Amino acid sequence: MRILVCIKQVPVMAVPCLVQGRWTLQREGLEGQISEHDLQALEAALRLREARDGEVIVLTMGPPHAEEALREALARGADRALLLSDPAFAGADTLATSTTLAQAIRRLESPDLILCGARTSDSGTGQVGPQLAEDLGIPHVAYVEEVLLEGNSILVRRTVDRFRETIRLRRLPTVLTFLRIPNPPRQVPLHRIHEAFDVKPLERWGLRKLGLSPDQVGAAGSATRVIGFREPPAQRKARVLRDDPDRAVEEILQALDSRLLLNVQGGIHDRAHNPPES
Amino acid sequence: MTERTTPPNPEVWVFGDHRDYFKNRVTLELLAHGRSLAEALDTRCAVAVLGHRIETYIMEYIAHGAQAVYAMTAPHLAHFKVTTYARALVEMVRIYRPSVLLIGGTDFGMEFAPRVAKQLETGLSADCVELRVDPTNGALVQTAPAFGGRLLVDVITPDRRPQMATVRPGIFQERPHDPEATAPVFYVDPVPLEENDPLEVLEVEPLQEEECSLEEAQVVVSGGRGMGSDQGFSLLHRLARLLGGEVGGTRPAVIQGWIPKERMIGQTGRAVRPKVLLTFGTSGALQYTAAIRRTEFIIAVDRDPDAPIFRTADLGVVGDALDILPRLIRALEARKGTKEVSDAESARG
Amino acid sequence: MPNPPAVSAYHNYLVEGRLHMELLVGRPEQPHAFYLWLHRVRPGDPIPLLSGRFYGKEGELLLEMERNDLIQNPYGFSRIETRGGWALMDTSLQSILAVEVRAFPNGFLTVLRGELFDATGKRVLRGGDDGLRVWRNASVPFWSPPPEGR
Repeated sequence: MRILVCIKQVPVMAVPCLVQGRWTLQREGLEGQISEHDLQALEAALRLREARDGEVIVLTMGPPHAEEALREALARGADRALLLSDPAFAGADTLATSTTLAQAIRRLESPDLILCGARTSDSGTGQVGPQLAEDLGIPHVAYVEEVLLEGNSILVRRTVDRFRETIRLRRLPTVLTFLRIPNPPRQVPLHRIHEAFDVKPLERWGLRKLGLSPDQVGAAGSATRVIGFREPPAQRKARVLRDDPDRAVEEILQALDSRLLLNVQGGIHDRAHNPPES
Repeated sequence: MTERTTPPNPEVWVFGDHRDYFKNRVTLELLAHGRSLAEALDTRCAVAVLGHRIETYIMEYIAHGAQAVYAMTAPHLAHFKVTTYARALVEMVRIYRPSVLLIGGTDFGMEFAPRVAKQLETGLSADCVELRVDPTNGALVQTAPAFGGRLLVDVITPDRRPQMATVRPGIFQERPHDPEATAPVFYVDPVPLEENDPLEVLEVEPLQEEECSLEEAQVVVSGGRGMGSDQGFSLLHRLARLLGGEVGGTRPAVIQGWIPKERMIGQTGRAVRPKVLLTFGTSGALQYTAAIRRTEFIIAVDRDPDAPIFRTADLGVVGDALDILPRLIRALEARKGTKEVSDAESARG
Repeated sequence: MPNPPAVSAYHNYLVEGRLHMELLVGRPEQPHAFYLWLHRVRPGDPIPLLSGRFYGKEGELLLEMERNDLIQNPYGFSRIETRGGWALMDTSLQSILAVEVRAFPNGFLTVLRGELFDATGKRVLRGGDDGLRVWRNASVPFWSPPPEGR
């Protein structure tokens, strides 16, 4: 069984912040390089390989340092890695990213399954999985929680809009996107890290190898364009209290009184029945 | 027969997600906002709806603001199947060429919209919290959370059409039902079902969820990472009981196991609109603040004076939730004690 | 039809599988011609609101109604309430037109059943579960008012 896992390197968080009127980047450390949901996808791939014998190939599109994320995936157990990197790929939205990934997949030996992380509200939009499937003309199942092997069949379980579904994949390859799986990702043993750097193959492909033209990839191939970042507008005029917890509690009680018709006798009552002492 | 006249001014379309209709209001919310976008674009707002026996939904959408309806009905369209519906909506878009296409950010919408956008080779912004028209060039400015919710990013789709966006439930407000409204309905020839469906659905069962009236509660007490522990959360439960409210939490609190996921308040969880929300130890990520924005009065307690939650709150307290909460609880219990004594006295009368 | 039918948020008739707020079939202005007018229903109006001149298989005038009132009724038809609607029945309880009103939480839909013939005895309309349908070779004008405003 050949399983492809598309991962995205999570950047060490560099958040633009306004400091004394100037925009600067503040860095935030993150453990690991692979986004949480892609890790789930990788874990699912490794388990499937254990059950069925086969090969797990990890794939990412990114700048040269995205190789670190691939090394981590190899250390966690993937067999091969492919980095799609080219200056032309920069600035890609999901439309261009899915075009690039799909073309790379066409150039590899046909996989049985293609796994990615699903959307999360925290990182990424999760559009790449379905758009990849659309580009390749294959089905996708989103929000997969479990993959089950039953004889020759592959079944997946997922939850969508408060319904749990069990689906049999009748045709391969199929794209599966993962939200979470029951078991957490495994720890990485030390000798694996050594293998990741010395033994396992990592290829790098650019624009020419993929056979795409520059207007199909990167910013040129994107349909959307970022026009700016901004801080969310302050929605309410908050009165902010500091330092004096007792006073704070008093203010909170006053606010509750007037909003909830609490009165000095306690509890929530209709003011008409229990007018407050004034 | 499909009428093939393209409307003079490309329209603003909203996809009619009519599953679980009376609970699932996202289409109505998008219709309301779509009307204001359409006005800014000097065009009309229409709904595109697929399915079987959808007469009542067509009428409801007209009542809630759709100025035109594009409908594709057939028995084989009864079920919301991503691939069939994507082909169907793409077909309708290709005929009528709307300028904007909005899809509700339900789970279905979030996996359906990308396939539609890819088939149309156009752009899609997910999870938009704002949508407005740039008056200088008529472009739809699509605003979504970025960097873990700390910032907003503004995106446009300069050349391709339609400009697509998904928006989660609770971001916009629906218009009231207007029984006097009327609108033209354009019927489109149905696309066929695909042969040899590659995905076989073996079983569908509704999730057994804890009964939760968080969304209807008048008082909500909520906690986040700053609560620190289960014990912290039990203080929230005590406060909620004293106020007759419900308890909710943010995603970090769910991940820590301090609160079940049915009580998660956030973009992928519940949206609340109580009279009062007391929120403790929640820094105020956009995914959370978007889900609480319809509260009448927000009281926030957090240790960090720069926490974004203070820009969403009406009353903010910089302090340790684990210090403020016991004081607040004691004060409320003291009042109750006074009341119980005086009730007992008047009973003895 | 030149214009797509206008549909109301409150009440519509189901005709040819499509919703119509108001529909006129035939020629009301000609005194001896078939017509059926399904009037717009606003909150407070009776549901449905029909006018028409209906003929039998021999082309004989069966009845004429104007906004639900029988103004010509040579054969003694009656409007009988049924479950979910009403029917126009003759003295032997044969129904020529039955009306079913489906209520939704915020609106109504009227489905008509029956067979209607024109003044030459030719079948014009036939109603069933999914609404009224024009009989195959009937040539009879259809008119649906344009949608109001924008």
